[in-house]
Amino acid sequence: MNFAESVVVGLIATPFIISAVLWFLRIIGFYDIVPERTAHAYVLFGNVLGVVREPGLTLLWFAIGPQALLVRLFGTRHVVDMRLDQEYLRSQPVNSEEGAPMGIGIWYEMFVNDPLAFLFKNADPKGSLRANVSNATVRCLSNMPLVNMLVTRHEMSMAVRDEVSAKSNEWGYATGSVYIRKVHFRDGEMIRQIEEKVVNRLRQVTSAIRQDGTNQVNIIRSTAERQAAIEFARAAAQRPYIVGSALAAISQDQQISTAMFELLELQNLLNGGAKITLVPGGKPMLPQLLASVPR
Amino acid sequence: MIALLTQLGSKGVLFGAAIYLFVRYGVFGFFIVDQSQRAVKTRLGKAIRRPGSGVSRGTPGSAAMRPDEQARYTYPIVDVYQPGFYFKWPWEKVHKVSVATVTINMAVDPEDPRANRGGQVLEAVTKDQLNIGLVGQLRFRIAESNLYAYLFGVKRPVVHTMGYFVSILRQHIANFQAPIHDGSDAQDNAGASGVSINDLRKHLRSINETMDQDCATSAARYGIELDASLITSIDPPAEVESALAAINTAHNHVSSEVSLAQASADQKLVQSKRAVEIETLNAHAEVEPLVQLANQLTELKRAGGAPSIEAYTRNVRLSLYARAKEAIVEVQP
Repeated sequence: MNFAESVVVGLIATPFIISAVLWFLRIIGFYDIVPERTAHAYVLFGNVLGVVREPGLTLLWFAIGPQALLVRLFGTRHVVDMRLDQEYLRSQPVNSEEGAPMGIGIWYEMFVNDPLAFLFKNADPKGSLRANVSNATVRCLSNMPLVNMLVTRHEMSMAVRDEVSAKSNEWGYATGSVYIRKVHFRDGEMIRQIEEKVVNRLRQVTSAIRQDGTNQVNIIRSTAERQAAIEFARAAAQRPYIVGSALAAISQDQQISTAMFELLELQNLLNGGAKITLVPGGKPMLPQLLASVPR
Repeated sequence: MIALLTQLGSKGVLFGAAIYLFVRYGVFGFFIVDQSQRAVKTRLGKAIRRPGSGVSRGTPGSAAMRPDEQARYTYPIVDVYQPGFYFKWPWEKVHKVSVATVTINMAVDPEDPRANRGGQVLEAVTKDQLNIGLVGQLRFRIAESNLYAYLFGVKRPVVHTMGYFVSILRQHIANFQAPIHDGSDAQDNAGASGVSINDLRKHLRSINETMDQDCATSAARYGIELDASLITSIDPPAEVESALAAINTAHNHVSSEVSLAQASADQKLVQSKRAVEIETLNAHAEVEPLVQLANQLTELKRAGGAPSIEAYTRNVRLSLYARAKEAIVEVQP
């Protein structure tokens, strides 16, 4: 085999050799790598040797002692995911105080806070927590007044959380935030009646708007009528006021006033086109017309 | 094995191994973080913490959480690699995330695609117990300030964020009451009190803004920063929609009637004001000849005294004699 061939062998063999060495070191429990938010629990012959929660490189011989040599060959390494998890339980059936059939969607978060308790105290911690949350929801939130059930969601969440936290902590499964994600009516007829109620309310509002509009129009009209009446009355009073004022001023000089009216009368008499008969002034007219008078 | 290596030529094998190590861990050890990406390195499984930093209690939004929540949502601050060219050692691993803004329908349930009418409409119940449908989008991006939570702390950050957002939104809808700012609003609310759908539609913008504020803690909780809540429509049932439309029609009708009445009233007022002007002018026209004649006679009197007035009057009377058809004249016997 020449040099080139040995280089190729080196190229091919190296990754295998590296992997094999590392695998061997892991198998003899020399080291382990713990990822973030993960816990490794080491069990040998039914006994827990230790739990490593710190992420990074762990030298098991120092961490759990010489038994680490056997733990990967004859024991078990449990990997526990400690990241924040969540679950949503849809439409948990409850009844309000008034007897309305309601559904509550409850969403909760949980995380492992004690890997050993999580592994060995409960066969199905997630399932048990689900059942507890469901049960606590129905038990704590039934028979609430309907208005409170729809509005006081934070208090409802806290009630459920307080109810389930203690038990889940025993299984190493801490309950995080709990939210009432949905509150809904389960009875179709009730939904229809509520819609009808809202529609009637809206119709009332519509009538009120119309009535208010009519009132506004009437107020505008009557206000305008009143203001117009005042102005028209003022218009009617203008002639007497102006003419009277002028005549009062003219009448200051009686001679002028008399002469003016005499002149105007004469002008009108002349412009009128009537048949004019003149008679002497200051004397009774009929005796003058008599042919003879008794002496 | 050793005999084989010796037989093959240990120098060649070592050279080959060196080439492998150089290529695998040297050349391929370099990595690029794109413009829209950020990266975090883990060294032997442990995320590299930012030197001198503690935990994420200082993350924007964390102050708004209750103390018990702050204790639950506590994450280390990790060293974040900005866009650029970097090197990693073989025992290091790079976790890249895109920090570009993402838009998602707010009705989407990542765990059940059939929920919320196939992820199209989010149902909610209003304060007056009416079932409504919400349509809109949610805009978010991965929070650079809390990448640990997104990458390592939470199993499915987007599912958590959606669940959190929907819970807050439904709670807000169930409790929503229109704010009363002034008298006009108060009157309006008095007319439409108990009709939340109307208030919700009128205050859509403020609902979106409130959601932005209320969900500000999502970055501290799940490593996802809510950019905007974009509720685009609030749909009531068909019958309610029709009743709401009737309100709008009534509003329009009333506005039209009021406008007409106002126009008619304005016309009447203008007409009455003009009547005053017209009557005033007529009266002045009537008075003017009298005033002028009186002034003229006053001037005449001032110039010639009373006899001149008498003479002028007699002069005018002469025309009367000229027009007379009959005259009975007294003569002295």
